[in-house]
Amino acid sequence: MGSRDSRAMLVLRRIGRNPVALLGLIIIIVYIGVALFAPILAPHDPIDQNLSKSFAPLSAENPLGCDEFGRDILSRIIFGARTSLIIQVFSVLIALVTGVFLGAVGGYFGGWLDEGIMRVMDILLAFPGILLALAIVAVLGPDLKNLIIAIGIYSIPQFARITRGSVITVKQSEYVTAARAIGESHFVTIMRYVLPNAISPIIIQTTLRMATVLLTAAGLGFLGLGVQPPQPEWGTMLSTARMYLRSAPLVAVFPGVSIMIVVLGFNFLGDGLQDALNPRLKD
Amino acid sequence: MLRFIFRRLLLLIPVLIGVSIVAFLILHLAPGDPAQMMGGIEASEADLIMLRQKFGLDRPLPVQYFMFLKGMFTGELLSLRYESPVMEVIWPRLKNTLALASVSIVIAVLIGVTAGVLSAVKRKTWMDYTATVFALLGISMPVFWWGLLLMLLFSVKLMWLPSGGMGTPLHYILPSIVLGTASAGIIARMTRSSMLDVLRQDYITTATAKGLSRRLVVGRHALRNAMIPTVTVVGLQFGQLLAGAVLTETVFSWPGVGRLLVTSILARDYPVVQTSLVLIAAFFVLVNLAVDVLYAVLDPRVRYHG
Amino acid sequence: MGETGCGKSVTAHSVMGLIPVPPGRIVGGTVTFGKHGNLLDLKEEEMQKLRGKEMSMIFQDPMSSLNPVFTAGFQVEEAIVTHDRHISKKDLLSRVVGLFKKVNISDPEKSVHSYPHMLSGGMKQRVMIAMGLSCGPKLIIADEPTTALDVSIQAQILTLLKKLQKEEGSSVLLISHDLGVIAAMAKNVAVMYAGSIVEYAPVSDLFQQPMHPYTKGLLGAIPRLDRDIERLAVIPGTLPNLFDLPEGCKFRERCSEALEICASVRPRLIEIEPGHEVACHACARDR
Repeated sequence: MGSRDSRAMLVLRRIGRNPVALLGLIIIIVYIGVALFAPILAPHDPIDQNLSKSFAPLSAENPLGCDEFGRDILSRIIFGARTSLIIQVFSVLIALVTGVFLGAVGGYFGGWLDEGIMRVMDILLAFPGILLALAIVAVLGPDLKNLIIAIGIYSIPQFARITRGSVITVKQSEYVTAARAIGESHFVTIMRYVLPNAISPIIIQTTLRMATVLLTAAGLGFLGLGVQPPQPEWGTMLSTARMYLRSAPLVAVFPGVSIMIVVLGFNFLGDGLQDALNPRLKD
Repeated sequence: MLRFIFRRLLLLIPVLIGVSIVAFLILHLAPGDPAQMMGGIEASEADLIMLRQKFGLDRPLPVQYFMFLKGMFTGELLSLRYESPVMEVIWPRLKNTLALASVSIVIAVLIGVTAGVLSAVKRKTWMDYTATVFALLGISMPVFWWGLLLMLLFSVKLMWLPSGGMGTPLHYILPSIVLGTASAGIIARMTRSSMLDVLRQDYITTATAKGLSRRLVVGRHALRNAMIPTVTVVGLQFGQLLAGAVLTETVFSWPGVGRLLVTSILARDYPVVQTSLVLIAAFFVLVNLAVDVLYAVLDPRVRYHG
Repeated sequence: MGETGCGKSVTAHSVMGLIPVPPGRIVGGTVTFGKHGNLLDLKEEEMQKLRGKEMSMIFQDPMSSLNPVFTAGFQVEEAIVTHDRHISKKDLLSRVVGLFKKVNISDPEKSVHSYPHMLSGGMKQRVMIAMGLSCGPKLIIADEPTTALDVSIQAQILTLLKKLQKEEGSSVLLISHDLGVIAAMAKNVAVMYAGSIVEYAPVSDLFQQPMHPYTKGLLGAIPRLDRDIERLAVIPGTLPNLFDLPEGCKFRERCSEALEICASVRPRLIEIEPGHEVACHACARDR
């Protein structure tokens, strides 16, 4: 589909002209690169303890110093990127697939099905912010897999709502009526005609959600309900660093900076995409 | 107007029932024996039998649900940790959280709306760019880390402010700022964009053309309209604050429901966990109702067909 | 008068000092207004005192010109209070009701408490007129006040404006692209093309004896029932790009009477007959 390609090109061009969005994109690319090549980039093993180097200061060997067990902080941050990326990708994927499916089905068919789906989403949304994820992790038990499930579930309503909204708008357009008129099945109509035209808000939501999800995962880690040590995760690192805040404040700085930069990256890009995907703005 | 509120209240009932069902089911959807979950791995067979009996865990689910609901209100549902009725455990802490969240939302609205209006009025000046950068930083900063940084500076290094606990007004300063930061950022962004939208409208030109000062034009005609979408965001942010309190309270040892929730999860005090979830969600839903009402007050177009 | 995009509204907004700066900028010229001298030299606070009191404006689209969150009455009261801080609450209300009566708003006592969305387009425009009249201004600028209204309402509003202008003794600067409206309403007409006035004359002179080729073209483009012609005359070409205006006369490329001089020297407005001014080299030569 040529028109889709050119539209993607147009969006890319607009992103390229927006310095903030471009910065966001660069941050994200670097972040993904660090996560993928963590074993090559990290100077040390992120889990190896060396108590003689407990809270070692910044040095050539340990550029960001060491934590309470003498583990190299830089290496833990680099591997932490990998943990964060895994959490982000899989939890958003869960939410995306489920939410888009529920939203599309509800918005497309309407009626009691829509009513039912949206009421359930309302109930899930009544648990503000991190609470739903917190509750789910609380029962499933804290580990990486359960964290991904919990964060995935708590992100479903956002995707369902946004998809439903744009599907309802698209549904009324003539090409959808036309698709039905030439005898396309509901499934084909949704997949080929409705969703591709309802995709912009979903893309924006996915980007912004990556930011929220990272903050939530780190928050749960900080509470001791996320990824469990010794596996390196930025929120969990802060949770232990907090205990040594008075004696070794620097240990608390770097994981936080990492979270903030990556979250900023996704927010920047999301903000830029909002403009770039806005059909009302002319090129 | 009263009918409008009444109808919205009626609509809340199914949501609240749904919320309580979800909170109730959380314990039962998990794989394994609920009694084992409550008691932990170290619980003896006798403990488990006791737990099953106490919470009716061997009865059918609907019966258990009604026991849970009834117990919440009658005081029959006891905290495992404190061995007193859950409401008695939760309520004073919920009040502390609401106090903190209220101070935070006031701060967030004051800062957010001022920054948003200024950056819209002074669009594309250094003021606008500064406000935007700070707003995005505020949104992107992990709450608990921001809390740790402020604590490090003001409590540990400068020793100006207490590092935790509750009691004097001074205790409010750090936690409420930390809790309100992200909301201030979001409110600022929202106010900016709706203000920019409003300032382009014809009625702003009309207001200027009749001789009103710029201050009145912006402060009365534009702001009133720009606040309409912002109010919704503020309502949602209040919910975010209740949730964010979980982290902020942990950082600053604030004796609120957020910290209670976390400690109860770690202590497997499920009655407290479930009831706290229901109460926080109920508060959130009520705040959103209040926002709907305020919305109708601000926008006369809503009142008559709302 | 003039076609869409020729600068009518911008001129009117500049007079009122309503051009947003930036992006707008007034590069030169003068706006002389009675004893106040050149308005462009006034400070913003001084302009503010004139707006609404000495000069007021009625806009194109009444649907969007009233603030949706305030009552119609309040918005008119505001215009009065701004320029007369000592007026009592009671006087204020009775004055607004009086104004509403004057502009024929149905049920004025009730309408002052109505929000704009409860009023029809015609009623909203009447509210705008009441607002414009509220301080007895010397000049009322009506910027295409009927374009957004139904045809039947248009006539009512125009009749009202004309009646009020006589009663109140204010000058009305009516902006329109509708030659019929101009013919019915105006005493003197200024024709604008691409940002400047090309012809200025009493209305009868202009319609009977248009001089500028552009005016002639415009008048030739009106369908008329009393003459039998095959096709309407059209002016060839389109408006020049306003960001890249040609040297010389802006109308030259579309003009059938263009001379050599038109390509290099921009014609100035000169009085060719008493009260009839034209900016055209060809017209000046023919006299």
